[in-house]
This record gives sequence, C-alpha cells and structure tokens, in this order.
Amino acid sequence: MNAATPGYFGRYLRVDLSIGWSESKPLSESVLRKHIGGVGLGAWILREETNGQQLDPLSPEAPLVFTFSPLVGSPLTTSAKFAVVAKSPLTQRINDSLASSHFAIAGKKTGHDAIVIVGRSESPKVLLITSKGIALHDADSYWGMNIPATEDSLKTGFGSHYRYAVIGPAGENLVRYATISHDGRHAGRGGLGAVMGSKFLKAIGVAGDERIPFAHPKELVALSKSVSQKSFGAATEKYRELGTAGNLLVFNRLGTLPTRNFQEGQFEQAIDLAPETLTLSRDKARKSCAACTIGCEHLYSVEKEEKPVRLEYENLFALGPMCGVGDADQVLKASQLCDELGIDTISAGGTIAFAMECAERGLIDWKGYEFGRGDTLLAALEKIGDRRDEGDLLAEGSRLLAKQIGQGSIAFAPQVKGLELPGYEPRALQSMALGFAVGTRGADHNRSGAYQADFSDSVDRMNVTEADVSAAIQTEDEAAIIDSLILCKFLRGVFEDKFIEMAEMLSLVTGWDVDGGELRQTAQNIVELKKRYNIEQGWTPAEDTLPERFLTSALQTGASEGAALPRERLERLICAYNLGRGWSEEGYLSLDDCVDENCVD
Amino acid sequence: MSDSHVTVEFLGIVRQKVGHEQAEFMASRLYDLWTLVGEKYPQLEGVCVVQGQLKNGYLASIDGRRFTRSANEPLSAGDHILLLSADAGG
Ligand code: SF4
Repeated sequence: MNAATPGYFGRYLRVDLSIGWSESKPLSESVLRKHIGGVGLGAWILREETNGQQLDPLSPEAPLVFTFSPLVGSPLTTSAKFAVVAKSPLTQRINDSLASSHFAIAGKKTGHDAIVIVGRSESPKVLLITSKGIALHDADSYWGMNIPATEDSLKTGFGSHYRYAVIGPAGENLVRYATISHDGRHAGRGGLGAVMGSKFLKAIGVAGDERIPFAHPKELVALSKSVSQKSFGAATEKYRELGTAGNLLVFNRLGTLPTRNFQEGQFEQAIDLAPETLTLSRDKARKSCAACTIGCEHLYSVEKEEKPVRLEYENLFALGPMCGVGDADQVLKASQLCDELGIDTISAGGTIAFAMECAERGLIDWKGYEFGRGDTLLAALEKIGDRRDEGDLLAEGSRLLAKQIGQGSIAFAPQVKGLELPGYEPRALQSMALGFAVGTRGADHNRSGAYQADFSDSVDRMNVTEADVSAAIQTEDEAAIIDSLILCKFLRGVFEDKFIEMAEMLSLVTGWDVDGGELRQTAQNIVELKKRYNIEQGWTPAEDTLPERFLTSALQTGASEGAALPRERLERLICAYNLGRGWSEEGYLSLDDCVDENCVD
Repeated sequence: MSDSHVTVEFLGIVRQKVGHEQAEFMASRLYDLWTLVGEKYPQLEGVCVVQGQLKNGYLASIDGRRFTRSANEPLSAGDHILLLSADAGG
C-alpha cells in the first residue's frame, strides 16, 4: 500500500487472461494527482497500455480498464462508483462508462485503484479477485445466461461476499452496444460488454478487505454529513420524486423529445408513458445505489407479481417515442429485456428506430418495421441479443447498419462517431448539439452537460452563438472532474461552486492541497487526454459533426417548431469551441497532431 | 401596464405539488404572476417562488420557446407560462 497517498493504493492490477497471470503495477502520486481516478485515470491507463497502437477493440490485446476513485469507500454520498474505459467497438474511439454500487467498494478494497484486463481465455471464464490474488474459473455453465440469472448463479456458486460485474448474451455475442452490468446498473454506453465478451470473460467477482485510509477522517465525516443533508433538499427533488423519467412530459411540452427517429420533437402518446401516469396504475418501488442518499431509481411493475422494472428517461425515450411506441407495457418489457440481455437502451432504440424509418421509406424490406410496432421492438431486441436474423445487422449499431443499407440512409442514422444520440433534440437544444458533435465518445449527454445551458435563460436554445460556447466547455470540464472523482451528476445542484467544493473533498481524502483552480486545469487535461487518444486512433475533424438530417431540416411541430441548425452555424460553434479550448480551429491539440498538410494552426 | 390573461402550466415536480396541470391568472409581469401563484398555492411559496421571484432551481418558459428568470418579464394576453424544475439531467 502507498501510505503516502491516502485514498489510493498506488497501484493497479493487470490480468492477462491469455496466460492466466496477474501482476501489480505502480501508479505514481503525480499520475494520480493529475488524473484523480474514474474516467481520468482510466483514460491515462488505457493510453499507457495501448502504447500508440491502433488495436481492434475486440482483439485480445485491447485493454479493458476498470477504475475506482479516491472517494470510493468514503462516507461521501453517491461515491460508490466505478468507471470502465476501453476503445469502443461501436465508435472505434475512447469509451468511458460509469456504473454504481458495491462492486466499486469491494473492488477497491482488493487493494487496487484499477483493474486492467488484457488477453483472451480459451474458454469462458469467471475472474475472481481478492486482496490475496486472482483465480480463474470455468464459466461454461454460465455462458448464455441472462444477467439476473448469472448474478444469482454466481452468488450461489462462489458466494455473495463477492460483488460481480457481468455480461449478458449480448456481450457474449459481441453486440457492439452490449453493457457490463452490476446489481441492476450498467456501464451502458459504447459496447464495453462486447469487449469483455471478446475476452471470453463472463464475470468479474471482487471481494477485498484492505482498509482504505483517508487523510482527514474527522473533517471528511463532517463534510459528508453536510453534503448528505443538502442532498435531501430541493436540488435533487426531481430525482427523488419522479426520477429522470420526469423529463418526458417536460421535453414533450418543449418540443425537444426525439420522436420517430428524430423526425419530430413531440410524441402524442407521451402522457401514457410518463411516470406521472404510470404511478397511478402500477406498483412502484424506489431504489438507490450503494452509499446514495438521493435514490433516483424508480421501478414500475409490468404485470402483477412480476419484478418491477427500472425506468429512466433514456430507456423511456429510446424504446418509446423514438420508436413511436406508446404502450407502457411494451416499453417496460423492452426496458426489462435490455437489462436482462445486457444491451444499451439508447443505442438499441436508436438503431431499431433507424431501421423502422428505412423500412417505411422502402429502403429495406423488413416485415413489421413500422413506427409504433411494440411487438417488432420486442422481437428485434431478442434477435439483437443473440444476433439472429436481422438482429445480426442491428447489433452493429446505426452507423454500420446505414453503411449496409446505403442509399443515403447515413443522413438520418441517429449517431455521432457511431454512438447513438440520447434523448435531447439537437436542433432545439443547440448547446447540447455542440456537445454531441465534439464529444470524444460520440453523441453523449453524460460527458457534456451542455443541455444545462439550454435549460437556462443564459442562451437562446434555438439560436446558440459563438458567444455561448463557454457553457459547453464549462459543463464538459465539470463532468470530467465529477466522473473522475467519481460522484453522481445528480448531486451537482447541491454545490455552489463545484470546483472549489470538489477540491475540498479531494483534499480531505488525500491530504493534497488541491484548490478549485487546480481542478479546472485537471479537467482540461483529462478532456485533452481523451482527445489525444482519439487522435492517435485516427480521429479527424470531419468526425465532429451531426447527421445531415439535423443540419438540413427544421423541426415541423411542437413548441420548437421551426428550430433549425444550419451546418454553417454548427461549424462556427465547433470552431469557437476548439479555439476556446486553446486548440487549433479544426480541433487538433497541436500542429504535430495534424497529418493533413493543409492544416493551419 | 394592464393585466393580461395568462395560463400557467405546471410541469414535473411542480405539477406533483399542485395536483393539476394548469391554472389561469391575470397579471402584467412575472413578478405579479409569481406573487399570485404563491398566494393561490401556498405549497409553492418558499419552494418554487418566493415573494414574486423564482427560487433557484426553477425556471419559467414563455410558450415553451424562451426561458426566463426575470421577474420584470412583461406578459401578453394568451401567454402560456411553463413552470418547471431547471434540472434536465437524464
Ligand atoms: S442519484 Fe441515482 S444514479 Fe445517482 S447514485 Fe443515487 S441512486 Fe445512483
């Protein structure tokens, strides 16, 4: 243990599945201070382990990085989280996804700040990690099981003192947007479950008993109590009362709810899917991640006696309005199916909605692919999970599917860099549009919180200008720190100055004299590190854009009727963003990065 | 300035607190409107609005197109004023 840096162990565990070997590798204090943990540390380790090579994300050599953070194990609310970082098989760019709960605490207590998996087993395996070492067990009997069944069987087989991160059939079958799941939560975006599946790794179980030291424990407890107290207040009320699904009717009223593959911004059956309505007719339960005082998870029964289903805004939008499905039972069942198979709901819904539009336009001849067909949605999810029939094509995501279909369909494939858009209509939320375009992992509302500017009186959300890009930079920087510390974003409303207050947390945990200014610089460094990785993997400025549909057509209905985002405006915003970050107009970090001889700084 | 007939639409957790979707008011500026809203719905006074101002964390939208927090915002007849939580995290 590295006693000099409380909150850390100063090392990561590197497991090579090809030879069944593990070793501990040191992490210096300066690396930890510059990258903190979570996505920052994960990006650093990924780049180190990749060593400049352009690896196929599904090849044995490709690293899969799990990182914890200095705050894990502390009494700070919402701090029980881990990040998973790898090159995405969906985007071929960096992907960093977060998940919550006991896996983070048990994993860190094995005495490591991160776990890196490389290599590939010859047959399916379960990897068990304790403070004493690793063990690999045959997983033939688990292979093919869905996620809840796998977790239950692992608990019976190896004990519930282990906490498990598992993949479902989608990960085994290399669905490019398969998830890694733990206790009902998913590291959901970008297909990291397929990376795990490509290594023949069904599950990782962690059980540690190492003590995690903190620099100023008394002050940390006092601060934790104060943050917890604030977390019961108005800033988090939406999450406690309605959950994120509370966005549905609000977005619908504002005309920003992506509907029928972004053809409209308003869904006529939104009221039937809204939590306000579901609450009236269904059994409801509420859950929290470990160490969380907010509890944003709202679960609704599909049918009496069935296990209730977790419903979040993104599941709801992607499997409901996006596919034109307004039957709540079908949307809940679809959400449940995604959870069981280990499929990212946003990418699944986006890709199926894209196929529905292609079929309605006569570009493909797939039976039943019509907006509103919940039965088609459910069947498609099953087929994606085992790559059966058209499910094999759908499992590739909308960008590769568009490539197969051709006929100009890429213009309305709902993706940026291959990652399907979340439920924010970019023509009507133009700060978010910029965030989607420049995001290192593709169209994403978690690494860029630019929608916060759109939902304020500081910008005209339907006519964002270069003067407004600082909000996109600021929210991206905030996310870089929140995701590296790792705290839940739903806590952000309780802070008055996020950087100063998060610096105080880090200082109390580590003993470092960190201030808000240092954290701002760390944020910029983390954003640049991810960008640098992408450049090394072949990124070009042409990737930082949105699908043609958004740049050439205006919204026709709803409160955002007429909202348009001409290409020139988006280009000006991107240019202003790049210059605001101190990069070249095109987005290169320095002239050395540019392989194009016409590149001007 | 004379009072205009406007509709306030309650969204999200505000609707949960009020128990219905909308209400009609006569007001000339948002200041007057929020004062009336606070009087009619005591459960909102001190929570979403306070003495004619919006509390932090809440936002108003004029006809669903433009957000504002300014209490001086003038109102026109037929305006729909949306009252909602400012947190759109999903
Ligand atoms: S607010 Fe929700 S997502 Fe965040 S830690 Fe709590 S339960 Fe988990």
